[in-house]
Amino acid sequence: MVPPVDNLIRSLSRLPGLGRRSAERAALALLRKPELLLDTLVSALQEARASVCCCSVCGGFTSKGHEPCGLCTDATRDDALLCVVEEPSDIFSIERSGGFNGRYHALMGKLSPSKQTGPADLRLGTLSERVARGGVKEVLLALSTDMEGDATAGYIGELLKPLGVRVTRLAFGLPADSGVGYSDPLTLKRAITGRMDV
Amino acid sequence: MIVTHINLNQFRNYKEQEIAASPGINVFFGDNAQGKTNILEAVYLCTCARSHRTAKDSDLILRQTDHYAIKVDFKSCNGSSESVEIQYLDAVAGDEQRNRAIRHIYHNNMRLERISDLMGLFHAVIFAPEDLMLVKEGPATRRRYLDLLISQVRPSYFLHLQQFARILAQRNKLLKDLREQGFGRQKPLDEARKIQLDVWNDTLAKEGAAIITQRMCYSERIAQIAMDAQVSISSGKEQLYVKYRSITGLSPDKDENEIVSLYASKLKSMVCEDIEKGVTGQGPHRDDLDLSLDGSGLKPFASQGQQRSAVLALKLAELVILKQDTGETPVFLLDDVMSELDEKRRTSLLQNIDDAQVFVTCTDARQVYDEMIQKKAGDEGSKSERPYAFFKVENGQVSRQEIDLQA
Ligand SMILES: [Zn+2]
Repeated sequence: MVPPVDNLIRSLSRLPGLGRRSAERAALALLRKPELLLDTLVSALQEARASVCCCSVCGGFTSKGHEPCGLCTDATRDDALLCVVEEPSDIFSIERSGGFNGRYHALMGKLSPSKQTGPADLRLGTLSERVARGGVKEVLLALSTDMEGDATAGYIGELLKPLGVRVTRLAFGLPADSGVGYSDPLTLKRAITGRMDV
Repeated sequence: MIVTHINLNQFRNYKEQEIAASPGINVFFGDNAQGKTNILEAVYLCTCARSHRTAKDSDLILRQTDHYAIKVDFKSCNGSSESVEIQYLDAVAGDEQRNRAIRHIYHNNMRLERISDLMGLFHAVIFAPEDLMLVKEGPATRRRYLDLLISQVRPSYFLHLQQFARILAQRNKLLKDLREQGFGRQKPLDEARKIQLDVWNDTLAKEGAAIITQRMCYSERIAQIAMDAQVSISSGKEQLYVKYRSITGLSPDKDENEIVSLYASKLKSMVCEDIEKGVTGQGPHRDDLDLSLDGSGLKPFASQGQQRSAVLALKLAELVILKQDTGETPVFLLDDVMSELDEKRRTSLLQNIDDAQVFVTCTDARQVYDEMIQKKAGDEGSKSERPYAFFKVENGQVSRQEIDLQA
């Protein structure tokens, strides 16, 4: 393959969800229609690079000049409820669910010694500060259900203990509209442990 | 369970081989090093994706090729036809797409997402010379024996094992980092680092306790069955004791939650030691299954014959538990053991075969016929035969042979 084309495919295949084959398809489509696809992508990428940044309060995505972001400044949202997520993109997911109306705090990762991520690499200092400032009654941990998520949740629990705030974690349950028979053993085991009264 | 077909592709010394199996006794005979054991190994692989002889999948590939595939078609006791297939592609240096080895497992031609999904689908018990390692080698072999058995009857156990290994790696990495930062007995951890290590202690304790609980429970069952088997093998002369040895302070009356707190406090009390060594000193990854004969440790004291009996008793316990917990009769794989066991032990083994399907390798087909195929019906002396098939194995080729041994 011609070096620039190969280069484009390699760059695309580094994106999550794109394997070598789908990166190839995307690259060839872009090159087939330069005006329609390639130019708009180039300018979108440039604009994103120039203006997107992370909100200094919640860590979510916002654009320069709009800081703190809309979610942090929206007066109708509940200051007493703070939702902690791993990645800025998790904020989108929770917003899409429509089930939450408090504030957010993205950690930018989770504890993982093997990936060299310790407490100092996460936005934990700013989290304590936000809670210490007062007004937050409950911190909801919306973290992944793997062991790094468990460890991070445990750490935050200890970190916030002296501040006397209630710390909760998302329930471990079965996926919506699914039967017990289709769930893997670990999901089921956690769902049983986290069972609730009817 | 009854295997109907075995397919080997670039596996060990087989290029391409299909074997149509008899529902009764399948005898593979021929000279040594022709590939008899490889057939049994392939069947056993389909139970847990692990060989009884090697931990390296690349050992299983035909020389000068880069992948193998094996498939076993079988009928379960409820009559349904199923298949398990394992494909393994070795890593190829310099190829971006294949810089890591890939293993695909299929059940009924559908790809399984995880190895844990394979557990419990197909059951076989292997009796092989390698079994002696159970008494001769270190604790890792005995943990493996326990782990493979429990995983087959409780697939979620395998997930706990995987999870535990991952958490252990994380905790060990953290211990090494702390050691590099100079912490240890001389320099105690500050509050923040203490919390950081504590969260890994807690997650490790939870998974570890799940493993210890199951191992304790199954060890007790194994102990009971193996003791009975040993008594019958040795005509009541010897008592075999089997006991799971784990973290100190553990007793069989403790439930999983109590074990979680016991293990967590053990981990906390050993923090300084662990940091200095850079590894986690206690837990299921260090436990052992203690074996003793009439109170003396089996390894240093027992004779070769006693060791063989003990191993046979353990393997029979595996068989009985598999039968009890799954309701299926596993396929028997007898690799060259008939010649190694004396008559008394052979009888104990054969008593358990009943009507199970058997794959047996041997050099003397006559002995197998007399002891396994020919059934004596009552004392009248009237004889009947179990269904059987003889296969001659020569240099990676298997051919069915019609041999009349009735005379
Ligand atoms: Zn914000």
